[in-house]
Amino acid sequence: MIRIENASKTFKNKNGDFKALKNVSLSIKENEIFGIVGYSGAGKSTLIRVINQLENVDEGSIYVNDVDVTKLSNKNLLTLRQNIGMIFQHFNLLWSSTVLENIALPLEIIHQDKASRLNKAKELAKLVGLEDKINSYPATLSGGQKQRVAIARALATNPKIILCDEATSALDPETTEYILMLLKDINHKYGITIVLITHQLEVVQKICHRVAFMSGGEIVEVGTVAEIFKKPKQLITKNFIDKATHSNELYKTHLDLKNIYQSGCLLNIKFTDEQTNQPILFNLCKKYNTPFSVVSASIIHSQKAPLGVLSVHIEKEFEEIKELVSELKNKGIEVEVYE
Amino acid sequence: MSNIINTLQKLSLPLYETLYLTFIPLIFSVIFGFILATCIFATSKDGLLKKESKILTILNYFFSWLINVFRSIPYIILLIFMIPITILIVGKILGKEAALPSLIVAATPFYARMCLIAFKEVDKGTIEAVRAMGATNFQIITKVIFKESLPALVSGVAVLGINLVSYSAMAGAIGAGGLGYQAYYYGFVRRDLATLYIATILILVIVFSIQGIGDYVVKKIDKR
Repeated sequence: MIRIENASKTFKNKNGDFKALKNVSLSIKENEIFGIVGYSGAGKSTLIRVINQLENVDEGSIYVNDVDVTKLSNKNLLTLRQNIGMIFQHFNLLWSSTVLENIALPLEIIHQDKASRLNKAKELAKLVGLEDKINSYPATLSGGQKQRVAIARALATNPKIILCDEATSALDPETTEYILMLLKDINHKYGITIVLITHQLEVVQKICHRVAFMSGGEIVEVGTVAEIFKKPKQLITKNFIDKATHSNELYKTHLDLKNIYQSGCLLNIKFTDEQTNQPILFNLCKKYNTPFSVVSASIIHSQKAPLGVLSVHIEKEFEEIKELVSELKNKGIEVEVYE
Repeated sequence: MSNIINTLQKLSLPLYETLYLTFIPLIFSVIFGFILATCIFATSKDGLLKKESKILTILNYFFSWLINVFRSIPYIILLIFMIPITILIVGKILGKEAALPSLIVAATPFYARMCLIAFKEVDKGTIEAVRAMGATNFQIITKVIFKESLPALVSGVAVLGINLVSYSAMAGAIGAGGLGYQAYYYGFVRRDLATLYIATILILVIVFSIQGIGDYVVKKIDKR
């Protein structure tokens, strides 16, 4: 549905050039929720904006439905944008217009008559649960409500694609959850392809099907959420994920734990899918007669499958539990051992 | 008491002249200033123009230069410079009508500058959002920029009106009349203190009314 081929973009300013995109290639499928993750300055914002040509590229092609958008005439470019919804971190509503007028704005732009666009706007307000706020002004709404207005507005023209620019970064955790579920719903119900950029990994794990990691204007890793969470190939991806799943804290506490557990090993175990529901560790430890104590445990629910992260302490040297570890690995479980 | 009533009667014509010299130029300069500012904004790089166009950039520089020049000339001097043009347009150099061209020429760039400041303050994110909807530049200007900057444009009108009240006092120098002129010649030069004070109070009432109405309207339309 969206294909980016060898896109490069350099911003020139007085303090030197900044390469926002370096030869980026990416393909996003229809009906997919695709996440682009990275620290600020990684080029995410530029990448999402080249899709609807709010930013142009210096080199490369961007195909939306097999049409190269970099070669569109001005008129066709406007039509393209009219069929791609976009939501933003800071909502970007018109404060001078009511909720209803804001939602109807994209339809006003395509010259739809007033009665039908207000009708459609009312419908959308209902969809995002704001039917009692249609005559309010954005200033009187909470952040979550503003983002719901923005989502309704993005849906006004029945787009097939919605771009989300850090859509939940300015919201509290609970509201974030609500907005994410709303996006998931929209993707599910209307089959809309959603491309989102974020620095919050939890956003990706909750709603994305596939994810790309960006760093320094390059895409360092692409894959399904489960793949990348379980087995990140690149160091930078691993660091990012460790931070988000608090595994790195574990590593730090591992050093502290050295003081508490003078001997033995610390195991960091990651498991997914049906493994989550089985007492694998218990059974194995029983088999090898190895008692363990849980240091920390968590299960993260991603769009496709749950992912468990478990840390246990075993009062034995590594040599003694080698077999146990290799049997765990044979069952497709990721194990890291800190001695 | 009768002295005050007498003075008020004497000041009724100058009051009318001041209102005339304030509101007629106000209407014209708001219209012209708004159009001028829109032209500058539409052709500016940080405004909406994404692709660089030489002609529009030159036009932009020209308009900007124009408002800077006219805003820099003190009004009393502009009044003198404008005499030939005034003769051409109005046909005379004395009287309240003769003050109109110079007042409009002085006030237009002032309001244009205020409009530009208001336009530039419109949230860049909002403009981007509307651009992402596929809006044309024309739609962005009419549906976003004008709408979102309306409170600032209205308070600009109030500031401009107050400025024109003080300009009108200077216009008295070419026989345009008005309260300022009365206060100076009858009040100060002829030592008629009642005229001096009452004319001043009337000017204050006009200024406060303009400000009050301006603030009220801004409060009504500002939904932030």
